[in-house]
Amino acid sequence: MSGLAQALIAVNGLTVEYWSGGRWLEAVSEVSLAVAPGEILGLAGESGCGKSTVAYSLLAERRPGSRIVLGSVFFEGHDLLQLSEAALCGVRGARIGFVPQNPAASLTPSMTCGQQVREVLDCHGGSRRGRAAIHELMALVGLPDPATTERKYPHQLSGGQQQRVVIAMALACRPALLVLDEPTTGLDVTTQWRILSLLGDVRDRFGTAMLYVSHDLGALAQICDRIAVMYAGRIVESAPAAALFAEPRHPYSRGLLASVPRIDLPPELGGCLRGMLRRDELPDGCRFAPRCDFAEPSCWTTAQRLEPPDATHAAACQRQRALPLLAGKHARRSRHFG
Amino acid sequence: MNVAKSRSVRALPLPPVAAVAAVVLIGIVVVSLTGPLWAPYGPAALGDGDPFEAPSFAHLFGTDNLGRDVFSRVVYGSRPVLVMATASTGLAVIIGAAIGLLLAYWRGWADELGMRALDIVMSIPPLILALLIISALGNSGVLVVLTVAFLFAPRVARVVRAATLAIVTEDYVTAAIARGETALGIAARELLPNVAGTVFVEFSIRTGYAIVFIGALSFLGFGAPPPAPEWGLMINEGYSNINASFWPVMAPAATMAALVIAVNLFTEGLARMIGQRGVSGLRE
Amino acid sequence: MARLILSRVALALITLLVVSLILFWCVEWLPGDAATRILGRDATPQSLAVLRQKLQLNLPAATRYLHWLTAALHGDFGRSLVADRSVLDYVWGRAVNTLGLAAFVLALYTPLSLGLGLWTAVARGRAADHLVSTFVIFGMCVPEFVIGIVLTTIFAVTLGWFPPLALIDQAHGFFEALHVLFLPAITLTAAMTAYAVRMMRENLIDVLDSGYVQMARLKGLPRRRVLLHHALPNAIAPALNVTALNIAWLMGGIVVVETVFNFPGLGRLLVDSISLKDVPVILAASLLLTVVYVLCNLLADIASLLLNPKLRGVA
Repeated sequence: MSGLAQALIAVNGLTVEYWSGGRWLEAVSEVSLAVAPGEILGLAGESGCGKSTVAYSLLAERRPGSRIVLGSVFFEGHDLLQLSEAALCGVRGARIGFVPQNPAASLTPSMTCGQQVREVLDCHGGSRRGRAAIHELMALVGLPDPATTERKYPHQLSGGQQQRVVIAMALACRPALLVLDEPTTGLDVTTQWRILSLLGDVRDRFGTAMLYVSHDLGALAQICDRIAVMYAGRIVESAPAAALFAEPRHPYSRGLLASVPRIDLPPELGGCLRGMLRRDELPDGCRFAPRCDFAEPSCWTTAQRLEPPDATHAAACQRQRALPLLAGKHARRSRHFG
Repeated sequence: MNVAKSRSVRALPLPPVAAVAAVVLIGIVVVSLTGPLWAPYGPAALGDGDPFEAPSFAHLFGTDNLGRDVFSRVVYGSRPVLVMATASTGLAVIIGAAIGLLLAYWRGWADELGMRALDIVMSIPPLILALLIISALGNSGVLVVLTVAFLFAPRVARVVRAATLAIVTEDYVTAAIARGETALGIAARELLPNVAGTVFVEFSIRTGYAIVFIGALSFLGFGAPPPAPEWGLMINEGYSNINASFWPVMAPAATMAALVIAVNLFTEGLARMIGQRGVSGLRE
Repeated sequence: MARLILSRVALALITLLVVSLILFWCVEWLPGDAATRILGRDATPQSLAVLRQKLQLNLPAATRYLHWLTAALHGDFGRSLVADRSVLDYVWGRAVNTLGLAAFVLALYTPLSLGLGLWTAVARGRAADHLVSTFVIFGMCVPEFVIGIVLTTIFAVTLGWFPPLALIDQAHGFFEALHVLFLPAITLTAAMTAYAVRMMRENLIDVLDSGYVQMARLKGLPRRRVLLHHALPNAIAPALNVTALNIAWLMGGIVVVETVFNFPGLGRLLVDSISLKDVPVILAASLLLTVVYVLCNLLADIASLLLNPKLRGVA
């Protein structure tokens, strides 16, 4: 984990349970991460790994049917999980902005876009108010013709435009941190690229830190400084983006990267992930063991921790040093039979 | 891509409230079916007691203005209520479901026309139409059943049509068509199991409303003529003498209320078990 | 938008026409001959024949219907066969009474249903919610005449706080009228509110669980703003629909309640005239109640069209 001392927001030992099938299941288990000021941290993993839950926890939002059992989220001197609703109102929208997954479902159908942006400004005070401020915001996020757009209702805009409106709402008060939950899923690739560029611009201009949650490694590669990989509710690897793509140390990360088709290499056989995440069949030790090509018997029983602790690049795998050698042998073996 | 799967009955236990309601229901049904075993006196037996007696061991609910035992009359009155309510609802559901399925299946202009016709029939407040029909054609129980069935059928049709339409456009039906299944096969395997839940809940709700409706009709004097032990009629007869004793009024009233509440609570639980939204329809 | 509204209005008018036909046809089947009823059983065949001629009873039904319809459109509903007065006069007097009662009911029902619906949706699962739910079950299930009778037994017969019969004609002044109308109004309100609270609660819960309300919360907006600006406006349209259905139900329920309280309104007039086979009054009264029903549905339809933001942007 990077620079804990100067972290903008620090999550410590977050454990979240959700109610399923008559009992409480752990969705997120002792997750700790930190985002430095001006840093874009990516949170990667497949569906169901708990990354969205972590994102919502940064805003102290409990999803329906879940409860936060342990942990703290320190931001600007306060543990957000201990704050009252009223105090949280002062943080949400003002100091931390949120960009959710489905913009169409996140905009109130009965209000115009302009009204929805305006109320964020009105609510959190500040000197920047009024139509000029709204137009400036809309132009900032790349919405054409702000004067017309602000009078339109959400259903009259395209998916990409709706997402830009949501981003405008999130940026309205120049928050220190933006939390984005799969903001470009469901948008076409070109729009996705544009939104990602926009986010990069925002960070360059205003120094906004971001937590970007996505299962799309391509998107993460485009803007993230650091990436944390989650599996089954735990962080299994944390590294600078370039380092992760060049040298993934956890078998799951290797599998994830291998499953992304590359234009310059022939399709890799045997490097992809097999099976799927079964929450009801998780071993006590390493949770990835059932799907791991390199697991040894002790992996199933020994709890894995991120190693080396507090390093910039760490992975929760006791065999990480042996991996490159094993992986080479494995690849050669499968190419033989493939 | 999300392909909606055909819904199956979720095996959830019945919530406790609904279970209690079911017990009450079964109790009332059993008592009504075995009436003479419970009622110490005949329904029209006169002169067994003084008028307006208070409840006692001899007369559990006291006596009415003619000295008849109220408890016996309530017990005897339960049968016509239950029989008429279930018969009219059953008929309404059969006809209504058939119409609803057909309209949803045809779609197009036939559906439009059918819906407009249903809307028009439903535009007349049902109680008024019932009063007119019954006064025109007579007070028989059969007629009441037919009238109520006629009034409820369009409402059932509308609900079934909506449920069927929702399913007919689902992916798994399109997939079934693409697989080359016949219309009948689709209806039997895909449509019916999913609509059956809706139909069953509708039947349950409508029975409750039918009990209230028939009660109202007999209260207004449009049900069976005196001295029939119909609850609504008993309430009306007893109301004019409410100063003397309120038991002849309250006994059938409370029983009717308990019955309808039990039906509704049971339907709630049933609906939740099957995965429906629950009872929210208006008593019309 | 204008086209949509006009088509709804046209549909309503056609509905009323067809309904008038159905009602006329129903009334045709009423047993007994009007002439015999007016003149009595001892009337001579000649006088009967003369009266029949005068009442146009020997014309075919279709012709009579057209005559009636044209006259009705001019406001002439004929004369009552039982009471020797103009039907319009007769019906209108009673209608005004019923209107007063209905207004009272709506005045009670609107704030109660909105308030309780909002409260139970927000206080979901807590004691208040369960308490209100119990009342809702009772209000929805127990027949309105039973409610009326129970309330009368407790508050009029036993406690004597209100009069058991709503003899509005003998009430002097506004407050005395309210006093007389209270029990019947409460009876109707109880049944209507129960259903409305249920619907409001469900709709509001749906809206409160929606993505956009969550977004509004995550924008740091104060709770009141989220409720009033983001949740309520999107739950209102269904609430209007509910109210329309309730008013429709009211057209039936009012008949029963007026009978329980002996209230001289349109509902009781209808029941009495059916018993007396007073055909012109039956037609006029039932048509009037149906017109109110269709009108309410039409207004609710149009209101939801106007409130639907998806149609607002359309030219």
